[in-house]
Amino acid sequence: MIDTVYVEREVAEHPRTARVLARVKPQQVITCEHYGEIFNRHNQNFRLQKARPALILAAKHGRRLLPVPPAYGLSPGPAYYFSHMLNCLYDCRYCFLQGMFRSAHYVLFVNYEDFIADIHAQCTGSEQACWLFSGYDCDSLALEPLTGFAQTFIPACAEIPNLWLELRSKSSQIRSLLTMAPLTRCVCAFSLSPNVVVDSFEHRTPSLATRLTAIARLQRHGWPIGLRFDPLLPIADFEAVHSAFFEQVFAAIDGTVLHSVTLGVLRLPRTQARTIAQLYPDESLFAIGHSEQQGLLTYGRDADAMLDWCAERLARHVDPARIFRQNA
Amino acid sequence: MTAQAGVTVICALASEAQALIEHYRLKPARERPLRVFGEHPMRVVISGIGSHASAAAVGFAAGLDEPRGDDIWLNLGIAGHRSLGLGTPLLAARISHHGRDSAWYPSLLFTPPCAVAELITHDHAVTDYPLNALCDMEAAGFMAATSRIAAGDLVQVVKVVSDNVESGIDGIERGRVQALMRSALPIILTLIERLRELAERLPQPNDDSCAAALLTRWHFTYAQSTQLRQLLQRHALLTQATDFDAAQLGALRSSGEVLARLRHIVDSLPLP
Repeated sequence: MIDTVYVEREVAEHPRTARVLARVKPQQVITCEHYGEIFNRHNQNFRLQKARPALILAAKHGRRLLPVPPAYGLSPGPAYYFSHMLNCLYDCRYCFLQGMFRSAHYVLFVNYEDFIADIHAQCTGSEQACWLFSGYDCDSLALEPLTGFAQTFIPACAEIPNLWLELRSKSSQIRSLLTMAPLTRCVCAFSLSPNVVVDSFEHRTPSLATRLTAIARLQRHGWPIGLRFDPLLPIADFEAVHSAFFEQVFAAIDGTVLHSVTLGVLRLPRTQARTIAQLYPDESLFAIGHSEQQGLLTYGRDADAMLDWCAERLARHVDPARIFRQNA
Repeated sequence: MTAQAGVTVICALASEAQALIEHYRLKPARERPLRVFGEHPMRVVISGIGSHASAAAVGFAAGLDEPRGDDIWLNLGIAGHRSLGLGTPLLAARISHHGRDSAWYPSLLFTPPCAVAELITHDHAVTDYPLNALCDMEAAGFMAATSRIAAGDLVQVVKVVSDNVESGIDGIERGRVQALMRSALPIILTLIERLRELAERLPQPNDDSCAAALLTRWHFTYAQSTQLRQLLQRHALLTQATDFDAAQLGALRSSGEVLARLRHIVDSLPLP
């Protein structure tokens, strides 16, 4: 439920603003000059705001496409990420956004046409495959009925023959994808965790079963699917829980036709980890043992062992060449 | 946080504060440099007129108690509006100072108990009312000061319409202000309640008794005592037990050994 919407004066007349407002029907619409007047001001509390975030409709200026961090991509060649939105509908306790932003309000950049122009300018004409990742600062699909993000960006990206797009999501909002012809260069990548992790740490997300149902429908429809087992958390009875978890996943999804599977343990920059731990001192997740290397905290004493074990188990269902480890 | 969150209300005039003072039965606490009524958890400070006076009152009030993360700040008073009826209470959603660029947007993390409005602070009383905005003489100073010292999500401004194009500022006198504020009191009390509910969402401090017991058995430096508290907190979170069995530390001889043993124990624990 979104009660308050702030609208930058610049986008007040934008047709997407009108559509969003018509859909949200907020109690209050407040005009602002720039989203930074409300978002990320100092002395804001992410935890308090998360209980009732506002929506800010804004225009994204400056660099809209950013190079992905090292070791994030799945193949050589240029790779970029972009965020049509800041912050997420969900409330995953391990999410780095809690440590990165002081605000939990959602910022939706409505000037999609400028993003698309940048994508064309950056990615068109190269012989190499160019990867574009969405869902870094938000969930790509969670607010799809409101934002129409996939509905707009997928057809636009389809026009660029060397462009590969990855949507990252935990959502079951797949209706718009089911109404389109699948694009073989658009990977729908879903983050999955055992039920015990979903229940404890992935607040407000769809259940594992709901996600699997959505993924299976997309797979049957012809969309390339990626699975993201990231972060793996060092829960009690790790192997028994994950053994049952993988069986459940591959009972629902055909592992032989997956585009890719990635694995990663929980890792956070030290400053973000500290901020999150201060926000949630009553949360067990950041109390577990961790190691630190070059300012990056890796959680769990036996991170390599967890990754090895999962990779071995996953190889029973998925071509090992399609399994990737994320280390950064 | 222990006990109830503290609420500090800044009013320009005593007549604006009268209804609240009576409701909470606040006793005069100070006369100088500013009049103060009540003490934690409910205090009213009379700032005098103007944005500078309001900002100064915030600074003064902030020094009266040890600051806490759940401190609630409220600017309460009268304001003009072109068309809204006298006595209409409004929560400020955007506050600016006339002729300046900066603006403040108090967080709306609860259902507002009344309508919201834009508010423009002027340096002088205004008779040429702006379209669709309240006008007062304090709120921008209040916001500028609280933005430096308080949790931004727990700061609000409520104004009650005291004058409009049909009933100008000449008609404002003490009795009328008191009556207007009294009529808005239920709204103000609801707002305070919602802010307190919000403040209660902030994390509570940990029970320190376990650390205190260990601190008496070994000598810890200040830095070590901080480490000890952090390790015990992690242990409590991962074991979901409030007590730590000190027998696990055996007959260790130094605080360094205690910390090393405790760290080993805690690092071995899985997520519950």
